[in-house]
Amino acid sequence: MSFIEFNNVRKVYKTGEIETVALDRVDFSIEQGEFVIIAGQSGAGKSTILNILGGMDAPTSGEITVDGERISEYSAKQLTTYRRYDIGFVFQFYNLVQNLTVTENVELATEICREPLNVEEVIEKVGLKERRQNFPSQLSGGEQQRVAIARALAKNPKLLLCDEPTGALDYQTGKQILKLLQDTCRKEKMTVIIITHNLALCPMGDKVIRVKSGRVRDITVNAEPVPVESIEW
Amino acid sequence: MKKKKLDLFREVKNSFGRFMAIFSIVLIGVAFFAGVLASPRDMRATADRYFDDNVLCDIRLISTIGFTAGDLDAICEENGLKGVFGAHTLDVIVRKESAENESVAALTSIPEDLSEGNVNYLNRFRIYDGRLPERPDECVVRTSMARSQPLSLGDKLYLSSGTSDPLSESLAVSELTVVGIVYVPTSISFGLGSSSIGNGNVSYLLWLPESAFLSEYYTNVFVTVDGASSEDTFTDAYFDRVAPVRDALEELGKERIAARTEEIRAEVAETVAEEVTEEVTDKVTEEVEKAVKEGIEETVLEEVEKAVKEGIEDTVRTEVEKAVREGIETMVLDGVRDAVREGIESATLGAVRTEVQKGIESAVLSAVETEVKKGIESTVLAAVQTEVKTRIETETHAAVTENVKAAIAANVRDEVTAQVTAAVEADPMSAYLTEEQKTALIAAQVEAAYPTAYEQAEAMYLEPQVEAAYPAALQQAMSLYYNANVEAAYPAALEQAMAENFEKTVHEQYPAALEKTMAENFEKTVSEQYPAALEKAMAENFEKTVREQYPAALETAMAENFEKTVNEEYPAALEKAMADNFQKTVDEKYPGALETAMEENYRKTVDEKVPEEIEKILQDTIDEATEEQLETVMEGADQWKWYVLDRNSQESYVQYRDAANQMSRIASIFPVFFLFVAALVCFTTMTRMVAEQRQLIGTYKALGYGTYAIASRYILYALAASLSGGILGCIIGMQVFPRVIFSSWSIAYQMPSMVRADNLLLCILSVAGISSVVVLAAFSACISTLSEVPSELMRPKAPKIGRKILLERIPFIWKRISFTQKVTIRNIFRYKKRFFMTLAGVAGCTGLLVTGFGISDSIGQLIKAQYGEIFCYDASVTLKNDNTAEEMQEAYERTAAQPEFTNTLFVSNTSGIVNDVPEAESGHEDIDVTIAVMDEGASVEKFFNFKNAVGKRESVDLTSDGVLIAQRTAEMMGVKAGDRIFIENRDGVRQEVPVHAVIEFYVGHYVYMSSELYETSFGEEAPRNTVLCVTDEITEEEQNAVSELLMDEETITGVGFFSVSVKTINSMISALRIITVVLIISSGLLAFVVLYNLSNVNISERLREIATIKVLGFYDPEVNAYVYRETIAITVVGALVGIPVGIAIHHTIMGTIAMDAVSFGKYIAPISYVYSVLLTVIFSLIVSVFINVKLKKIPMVESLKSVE
Repeated sequence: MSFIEFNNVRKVYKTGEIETVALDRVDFSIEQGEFVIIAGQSGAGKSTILNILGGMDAPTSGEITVDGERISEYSAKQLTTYRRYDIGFVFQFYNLVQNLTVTENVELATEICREPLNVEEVIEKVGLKERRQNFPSQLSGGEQQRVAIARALAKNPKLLLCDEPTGALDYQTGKQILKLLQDTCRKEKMTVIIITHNLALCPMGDKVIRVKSGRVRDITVNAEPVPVESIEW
Repeated sequence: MKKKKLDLFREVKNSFGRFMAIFSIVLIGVAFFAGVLASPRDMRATADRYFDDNVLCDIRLISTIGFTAGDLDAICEENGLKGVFGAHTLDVIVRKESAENESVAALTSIPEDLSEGNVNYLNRFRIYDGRLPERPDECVVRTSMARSQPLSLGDKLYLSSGTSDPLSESLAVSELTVVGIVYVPTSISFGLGSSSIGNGNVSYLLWLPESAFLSEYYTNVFVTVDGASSEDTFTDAYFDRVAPVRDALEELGKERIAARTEEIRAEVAETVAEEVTEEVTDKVTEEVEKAVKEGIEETVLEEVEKAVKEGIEDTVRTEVEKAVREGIETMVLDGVRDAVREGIESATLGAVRTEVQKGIESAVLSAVETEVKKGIESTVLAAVQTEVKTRIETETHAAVTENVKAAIAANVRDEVTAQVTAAVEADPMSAYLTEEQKTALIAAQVEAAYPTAYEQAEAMYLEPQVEAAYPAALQQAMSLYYNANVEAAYPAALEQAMAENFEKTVHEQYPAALEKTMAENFEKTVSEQYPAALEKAMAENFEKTVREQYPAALETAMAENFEKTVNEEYPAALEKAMADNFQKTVDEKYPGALETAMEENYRKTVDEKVPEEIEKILQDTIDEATEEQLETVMEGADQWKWYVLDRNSQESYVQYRDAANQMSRIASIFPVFFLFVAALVCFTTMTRMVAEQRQLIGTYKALGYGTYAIASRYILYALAASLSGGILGCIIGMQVFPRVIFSSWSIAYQMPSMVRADNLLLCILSVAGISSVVVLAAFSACISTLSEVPSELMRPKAPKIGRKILLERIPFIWKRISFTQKVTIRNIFRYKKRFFMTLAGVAGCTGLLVTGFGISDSIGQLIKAQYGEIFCYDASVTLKNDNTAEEMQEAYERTAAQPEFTNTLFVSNTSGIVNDVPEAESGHEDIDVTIAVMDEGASVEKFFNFKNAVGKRESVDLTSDGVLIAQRTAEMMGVKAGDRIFIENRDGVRQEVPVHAVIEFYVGHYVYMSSELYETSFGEEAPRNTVLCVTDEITEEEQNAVSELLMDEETITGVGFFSVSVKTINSMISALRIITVVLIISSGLLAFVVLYNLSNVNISERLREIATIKVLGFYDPEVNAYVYRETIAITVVGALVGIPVGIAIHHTIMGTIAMDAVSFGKYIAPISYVYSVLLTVIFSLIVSVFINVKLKKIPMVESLKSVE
């Protein structure tokens, strides 16, 4: 059994009378420590996958297991616990708390964790040692994203979910962030899932899941993932 | 435009929460504002309608001396009156049929005609149950404010007067049956008043037909003014209507009182005149009688004495004079007499001697002649007589012998006859002879015997018998013949003898004779003749001579001696006479004289004098007595007046009006505060809305819409929210608040169902007001945004940068604060505007709560402080004001002797006036106060606890340094300790005194003075008339028992236990407590709306952040805490800030709702702060529940969205 398994997952959004099928018969599996890219166009359903996988939403039907837990059966509270301990989120727009310093933003996550990593170390790891007392607004986009990553990592999650982590960043910075994520995956054996519409990133994933119109179009496993540095877009 | 409208609807739909936020705050604000403002209006409208419908008198006249029928007629004649009713009132003691205890009932008469059409049927009843009385022994009772009616239909009440006068003097009935329970517009509140009988507290108000009352005087006259009912009774217009009538009646009152005073004066004068006249007549008569009697007695005595004295004097003088005169006369007379006598004597002696000599000579001559003649005559006579005698003797002897012989012859015959007869008879033979034989025998014998017998007899008897018979016969013959014979013979014999012898013999005899005679007789004769001659001379001349000589002699003598002698002798004589006779005579004469004088003068004088005397004093006495009587009857006559009381003086009206006014004042503070908060909330909300729609605004702008066109979108939004909220708020507020408030006041005031005032304008104004505020808020919120250029607007507004706060710079503290706390603190300081908004709302909420509780506390404390702390005594006994000092003292001792009273203080409580200026003027009106005077010293502490009203509230003593004045009184005058004020005592004397301290005091205007200060200020002792009493804990029954016992005393007029006062005041102001409830509810709503609204804003601003932390795995409570912790923190801070706010509002409110004489303290119990804060936090937590729901609904997907 894989670390993460999607079995016949279906998600339907109901808005009034109108039913929108966001996901339909989605099946895939991800192994522990894998660096996975989930790619697709806007509206293809990748965000829905992210939401469901991230415990922010529940599937309409189908089965999802993460580390042996059937999270598709989870109650809202279980999902929160799941998010709390198992998931690290990296958002496209960093979602830092503006009112908190770098350290504090990280601490915000570690506060609620069972076995958080050392905040200082994590910050150092993401290369923001010098700026740890700064407020987000005093940081550049990349730096902010690093903070976000640090925040996600500090929780010591089972899974790092990144939603368009480079979407708001310039090319170079994006690369650096991807590097950081890839390194983290490699070094920490962290399962990292990156959701992006940028197909150019696909080569760097251990596994690439392409989604389109709510369905998994294909799943590619790269035996030799390309390092970030060599990817261009 | 259609698009825009559509856009607006959509906007409303999309941001329904926000719309609702504005809508609801406006709704609450308007509902509260309009509702609370409408409440007093509705209260007034209800009362106005009630008063009009039930014909509440516009003016009530009370006369201190009652109204006569004439007064009533005079009132009726005044212009502008509609209805007039003279009512009798009487306080009696009633006992319920079944019950033991007695209560005081105030009886009032009602007209006989109780029909709707009777304009004189005033103060009409609203029947709660039963019917109106029809007979004198039926009554209606006012409904009790208590939950259960103490009297029910059919109850029988037994009445007694409660005074020493029997009830039957004033009331025709002694038993009443309750036939109805009513409401009455004259008495709508708790207070039933006090009475001078029973326990002093009126328990029932009863009405019964006029016919039950016996008094000819009306105590009250109720009047309605024509046209006044058409005015709202709470407006000036109403009073403008009433004022002229009131003034006219006041004038009338003066006239009538003057007339009445005169009438009474006249009556009194008449009665007194009658009484006094009688009295005076009796008295004067008695006095005059006594005086006259005494006068007469005195006069008579005097007169008698004088008369007697004069008499004696006269007598004495006369006597003396007489004596003197007589003496003189005697003396003179004697002298004269002696002289005369001597003269006469010598004259006489001479004369006599001459005479005698002559006499002797002639006498001798004649004697001689006589002698001679006699000798001759005697010789002659003797010769004659001898011749005659011899002849007679011879003749007589012869005659006698003849006669004797005859007599012897006769005798012898007879003797012989007798002898013969006897012998015959003696012979027995004679018996046989007849008579004739016998006689013949006899005669024969006699003849025979006789011649012998004779011869015998002649021999024997002739001589003796002649001898025997001779002298006699001689004598007889002598007497028969002697003188005649002599005389016949004598003259011739004499003449012959004379002629022969006489001359010769005389000459021979005379010289010798003379000599002899002279020698023999002269001296002797003189001596013999002198006395006689003297006597004769004296007899002849003495008196005459004396008489002739005497007057002259007397005159001379008198002239010489009389006066002198009299004067010499008189005094002694008088003294003696007086000593001897005066008193005696007076005593003798006096009674008689007195009696006479009395008889003559007494009655007459008395009858004359009595009217005179009466006249002299009667008028004065009458005047004096009248004056005296008037003084009693007219006591306080200068105080006699009609009290013409318009509704401003009617307790029910005033209390109710004050209640409504208090509501008004409260309404004018709170709702404004609400409006302010509403405006703030709207402003925040609109600001947020504009902020959220930056891009949209930018778009519109880019599309070419004008600033105002765009702004109108928000203004319309705000207008829609505020108008709809306002209108609904009006509708709800108008229904809820007036009803709640009205029904709460209904606890304190008996009113019929609520009548709505015309509140349309109020509604319009309040809706318009708040709408404009909201619109203004919306406008000002978007105007700054709108001034930006579109391109800027298209970009997201730079998020507020995080900043270190001051606290972080103090690592010492900062390090100790937990992370989440840091976040919270940081957040709080980050969203300052919202922070202050929330703070304001919460502080307002707490403030309202503090105020609400504070009002309750202050009211409660007012009673507790006034009657529990300031007044340490439990009861006060009021003594009758016209008691004498002794009666006062006695009453005090009687009171002090009650075992229930553990301590008593005898003080003076009189009404007076204070002012801070010498004369009342505008802005410095006189304030009626109670002047309490007592001895300074330790005992005061047991009865009062005077504390400074300001500063540290330390205790102050009552000293003679100055007065203590109640804080409210001081406040109204604007004076403080050390100032000087003017106090006017009840006698109208105004003096300046220093203020020693302003004391904490809540009920009534009071000035406390030490006796010493009073005396030095007013120059007299304060009249003590009140006894303050301290009791142990005693039951109400015991209180009543003591009250009744004391009230039986003539000298005691009232016994008041504070427990009763406290009850009354409590119930009076209990309605104010509803304000507390209203405030708590309102503040809850406020807190809710503000917190909810601002939390909403907060959430909407931090949607992303919240979604993010949700994604980060914060449990719901953690999310809530994360968001709401700030709110809680602000709430706590706000609550703390709210405390001073509340204190301030409370102060203001207490200041504004202060009644004239009641000073609400500004006391807030510490627990109230706790309650307020706790309640605020609870409200906040309740809001958090709603916020939680809202937070829960926030989709985590929001976190994934791009920054707008």
